Amino acid sequence: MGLLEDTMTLYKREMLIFKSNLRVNLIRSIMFPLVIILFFGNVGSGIFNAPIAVVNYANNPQSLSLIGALQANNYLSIYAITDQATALSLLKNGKVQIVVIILPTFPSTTPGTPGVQVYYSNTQFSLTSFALPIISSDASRYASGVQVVQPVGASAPNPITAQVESNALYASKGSYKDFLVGGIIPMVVVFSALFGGGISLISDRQLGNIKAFLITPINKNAIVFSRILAGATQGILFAFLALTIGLLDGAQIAGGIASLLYIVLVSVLLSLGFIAIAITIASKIKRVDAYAIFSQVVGLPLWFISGGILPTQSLPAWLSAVSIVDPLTYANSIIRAATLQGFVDPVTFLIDIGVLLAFAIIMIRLSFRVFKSSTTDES
Amino acid sequence: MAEYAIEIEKLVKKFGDLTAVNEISLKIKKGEIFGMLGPNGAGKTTTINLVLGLIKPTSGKILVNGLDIKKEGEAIKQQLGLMTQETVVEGELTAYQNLEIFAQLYHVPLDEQPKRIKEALEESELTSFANKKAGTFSGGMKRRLELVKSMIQHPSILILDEPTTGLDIQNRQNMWKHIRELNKLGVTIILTTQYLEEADALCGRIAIIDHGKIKAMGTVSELKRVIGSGRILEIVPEAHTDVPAIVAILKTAFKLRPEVKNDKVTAIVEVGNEERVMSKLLAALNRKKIKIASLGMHMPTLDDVFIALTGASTRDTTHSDTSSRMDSMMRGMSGRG
Repeated sequence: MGLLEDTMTLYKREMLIFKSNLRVNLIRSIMFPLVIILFFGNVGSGIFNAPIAVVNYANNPQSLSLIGALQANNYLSIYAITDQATALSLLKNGKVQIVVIILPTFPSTTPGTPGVQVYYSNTQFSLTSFALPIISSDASRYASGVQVVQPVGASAPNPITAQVESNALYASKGSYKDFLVGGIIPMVVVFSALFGGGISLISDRQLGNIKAFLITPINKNAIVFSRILAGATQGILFAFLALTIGLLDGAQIAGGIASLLYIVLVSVLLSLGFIAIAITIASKIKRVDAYAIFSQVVGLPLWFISGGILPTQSLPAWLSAVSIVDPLTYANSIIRAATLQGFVDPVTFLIDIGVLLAFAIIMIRLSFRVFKSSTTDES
Repeated sequence: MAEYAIEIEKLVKKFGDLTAVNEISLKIKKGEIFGMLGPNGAGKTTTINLVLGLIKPTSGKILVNGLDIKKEGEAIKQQLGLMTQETVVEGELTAYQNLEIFAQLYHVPLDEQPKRIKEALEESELTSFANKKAGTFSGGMKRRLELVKSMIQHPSILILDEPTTGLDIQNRQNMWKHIRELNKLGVTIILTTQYLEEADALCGRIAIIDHGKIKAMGTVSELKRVIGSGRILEIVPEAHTDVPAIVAILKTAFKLRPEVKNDKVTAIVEVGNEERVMSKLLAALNRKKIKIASLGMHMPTLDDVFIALTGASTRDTTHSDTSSRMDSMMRGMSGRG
């Protein structure tokens, strides 16, 4: 009986070893998504007591009432009420993040004439992006426009506009965390494939296990095939662990069971392709430390440019072009549509799955060939 | 049925411009314990890898039980068992799982597997440890498990690549006992070793291999005759620093060809000459004020044969930092280096 039986025997071996080291394997695979989801997923989701300085030129009941409102919320904390020069030097020294200047015109009702001017330091981007709308909404209660001026930092002032009606049709409650959890899944799959698939092959060769398999009358492809299957099994397990962490931390996925099926499908194809890459490279590299460097150098950039952590639209044009050849981009495309929108466009789906399938097949064929040649000419 | 378990004819294996195996020819009879002896990198393991079909020969012919390795590789694999220098039992798996996986890889029929595994556990005295992870075993237990694992397919030929390296004396004696028992059951055994007493104790015939060539082949007593009718002179000075002076005396005054191993200087002396050499040597050493810890003459041992043929008892591989793909062909520190 050949390939299938031999593959199942070696698959069983791989899984027994995996089970034997279960605790280490789980910790290894959980730590990264755990840190990323809990930390980055929650970045900017709330700020507390951001220090601000207030300059009150208006000095009327409305301005005093505005200062009271700013002080009353949990997000801002008034560090000083002072003159403009002192306030701006506090901003420069980093004592405060925002300077709120209540102009003599406050409360202004004239369009184009702001009642409040805000200076802020953009060094803590997540903070100001949350704090500015709070100030704006407090000020608008007095029918006063806010002019935002940004003295420290690169980009041009971005005045906060109102008068726009917006309707979220999809992902209305979508948060960065929801976005991130979708992007974590391909990353976990790729990392477990690159790391697990390659290191175990190199150490098995060093320990003489590969030699022990090669002298048995098995089909050589079974050695590669069993590893690819075992790696895919583990990849799906890790993907679900990462998803669970995200859901427990409050992320939401649209689409329910259908989304899970998309995730499984994408994870399987991605695993197959990347374990095949791992086997191909590990057949050529003889040292574990050199291989570990390879897996880091390849894995992280592929994840970053695939839109895993930020949308691909935010990439510079040349990186955006590179992301077209990154299989992770296509994995993200499906998982994002499924988990955020709850719906995958059939044409997009066919293109993405087609690319992932072709990638997996090409890499598996390559890994068979490279592994075989590495075993016949080895000594 | 073929008369020989292994027939090798003019076997050559080159790695680039390095010839690891250079026209080796040998025949191993069925039921023999055949020893392959040689310094590190002499070509023993390469020869074995060629027989196992792990690498392909540059030229030459290998027959296993009369079957040509080029044509009947799969059938031959069932006939060969291998136990390597490194212990390759899997630490994360239990003794039972270790055996089961290899029973399956060798395609032992499914209904026969439990019986084979049970027998193997009994033979290795590991029955009560069947469900313990092999990683927790002692070195001797691992080696016993490894031995029965390499026999799980019931091969007719067992290749042992330095089977007792790193074992203590008791475990080594035990391993020898197992090897002899297997041989009595009709298994042909091919053994590589660095330990001369191991070859002496176990092997019917021995091939001494160096630089990819067979330097000598025969029974232990035949090999000892290679040295001729000479006796072995052995001198150990009290101070290690006197070694070069002794070598110089033996070379110039006695026209001998001394070999150095650690602080021991040895040389072959013609029979009938022993007493004259001995008294003249004592006088010469006295004149140079060299103090001697021990001085003696004895019949040749396998050790002496080995040194005479290869120029070194063991080669220190760390002495070479060349970037060659193999650590073979290392010129040693002593002898003709």
